[in-house]
Amino acid sequence: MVVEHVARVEGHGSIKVVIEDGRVREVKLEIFEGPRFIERVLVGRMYYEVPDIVARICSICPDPHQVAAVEAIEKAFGVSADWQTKTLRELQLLADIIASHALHLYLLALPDYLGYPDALSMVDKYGREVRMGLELKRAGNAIKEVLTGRSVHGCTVKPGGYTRVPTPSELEGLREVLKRSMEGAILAVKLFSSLKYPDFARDENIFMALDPGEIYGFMGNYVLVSDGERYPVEEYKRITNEVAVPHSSAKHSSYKGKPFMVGALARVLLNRKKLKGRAAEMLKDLEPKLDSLNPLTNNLAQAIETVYAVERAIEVIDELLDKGLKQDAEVKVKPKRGMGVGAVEAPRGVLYHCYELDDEGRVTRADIITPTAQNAANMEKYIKVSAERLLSIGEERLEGPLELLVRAYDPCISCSAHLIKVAKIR
Amino acid sequence: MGDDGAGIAVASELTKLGYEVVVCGSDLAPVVTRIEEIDVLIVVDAVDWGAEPGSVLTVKLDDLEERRAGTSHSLRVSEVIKLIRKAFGGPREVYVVGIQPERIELSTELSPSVRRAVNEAVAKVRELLARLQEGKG
Repeated sequence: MVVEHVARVEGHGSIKVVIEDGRVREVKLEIFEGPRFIERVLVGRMYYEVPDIVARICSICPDPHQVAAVEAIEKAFGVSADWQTKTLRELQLLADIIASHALHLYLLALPDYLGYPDALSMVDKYGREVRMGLELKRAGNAIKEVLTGRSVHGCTVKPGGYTRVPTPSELEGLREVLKRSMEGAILAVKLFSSLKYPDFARDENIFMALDPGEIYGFMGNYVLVSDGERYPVEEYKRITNEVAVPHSSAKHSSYKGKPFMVGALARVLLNRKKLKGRAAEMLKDLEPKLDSLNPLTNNLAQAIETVYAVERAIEVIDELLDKGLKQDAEVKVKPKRGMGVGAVEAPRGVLYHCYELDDEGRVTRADIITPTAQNAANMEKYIKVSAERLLSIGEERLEGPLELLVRAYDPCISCSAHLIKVAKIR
Repeated sequence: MGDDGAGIAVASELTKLGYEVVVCGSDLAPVVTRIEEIDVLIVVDAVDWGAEPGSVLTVKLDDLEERRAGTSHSLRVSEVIKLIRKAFGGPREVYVVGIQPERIELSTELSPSVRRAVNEAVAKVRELLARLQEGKG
């Protein structure tokens, strides 16, 4: 059975399930988005060009790519941005979480559960829901426009700081937009907590997420694993173990020999005690519904995170306004030879950027590991488990549930397309 | 992506002429953030309708039937605009000014046929705007 072009995911992928004598012999999540060789493109470019280039990896989540890149470069140069820049970066990441989760929950995932082929078909009956989703996405995009000059592929993010700092009135405007969007975030939790998540995919899982420190967030210097381990992000290679697989242009990852999951479900399960406000209150009642064995409940975790992100973004704006915005917050960056790893939580999970730079600040090596690439092996594992259990309902009925499963990961296939090194060319 | 940059080339010419143009890149998000301000939307982009490369098309969105793409990458432009119109009740009218691409591939250059068509597309947008202004008056 082959699902050509999984619908309503970002990018081009297909699911291939080989069934022989009534048994599932092989499962492949094929990712055939053309590799864009971004890591190779970066080699030879100056450090200050990097954030603008890596933004192009993805139009859904250019912001985490930019923030991970500048964090990595600053570490390589041995400098650290000041509080204001770090706080603006947090706001930029929150904006991306809001915009991306809104898009996925309301426009890509919800049609599955309401029985429509796509968002357009459901707008007549569920106009309020679609409008709420668009309003939420709009709030996220509005923050990006103010912070980075554009809602997609922003252009003010540099190592050391932002080339333009928002004005107090711009931030006040954003606070109003965010307040209006809260209704949509809360509605998302209500909708996704009222759904019945099928249990065909339930199985043991391993989760990874950044340790955000004292409060729930999307940046960190350590990675938490559900087996209780904690690793510095510099050891990302040891815990992601990427290998190229022939059927996919995204590499596959494993931890201690097993596939693992990153993303909203991993974050909420590993950092649940750090949530606060409305999201924490809502989670209290919903905790039993967030099933660590069932990746389909990732959607509910995304909804809870959206409530948190809206509330936290308002709080961050208030902190910035209270302290007063300095227009010259940029930290001087002096290039020097070195290596740095930056990690952030993108909407779909942990994102690593690693750069080696020469004395002048020119990139000599770049390594980018995206969440969808990390999740690819995990998705295959669950496709196999699910296909084996669902086979009894008939081969022809496998397609819908398996697509539902893959979509729950919110895979961003376009950005998982990642350089595969060729060992030898004749 | 080669001739997919046709819209941006037209936008840059219109900006030089003093028009306020919103460059959307690969997402219509900037349209949604400004939705209340938009009465009439003109989308300028590379459009493949099988014509001679460099041909310029002006059409109302309602008269355009977009072929279901071979891939399912996100939503089609026309679908997103329909969704926005149904959800927000606007924009009132949507036009598409399209340039037939010659090649869509990894490149930062427009092909000569599309480069030559940029000025024609700029003129079409200006004509359309003038007509809409007249209609209003």
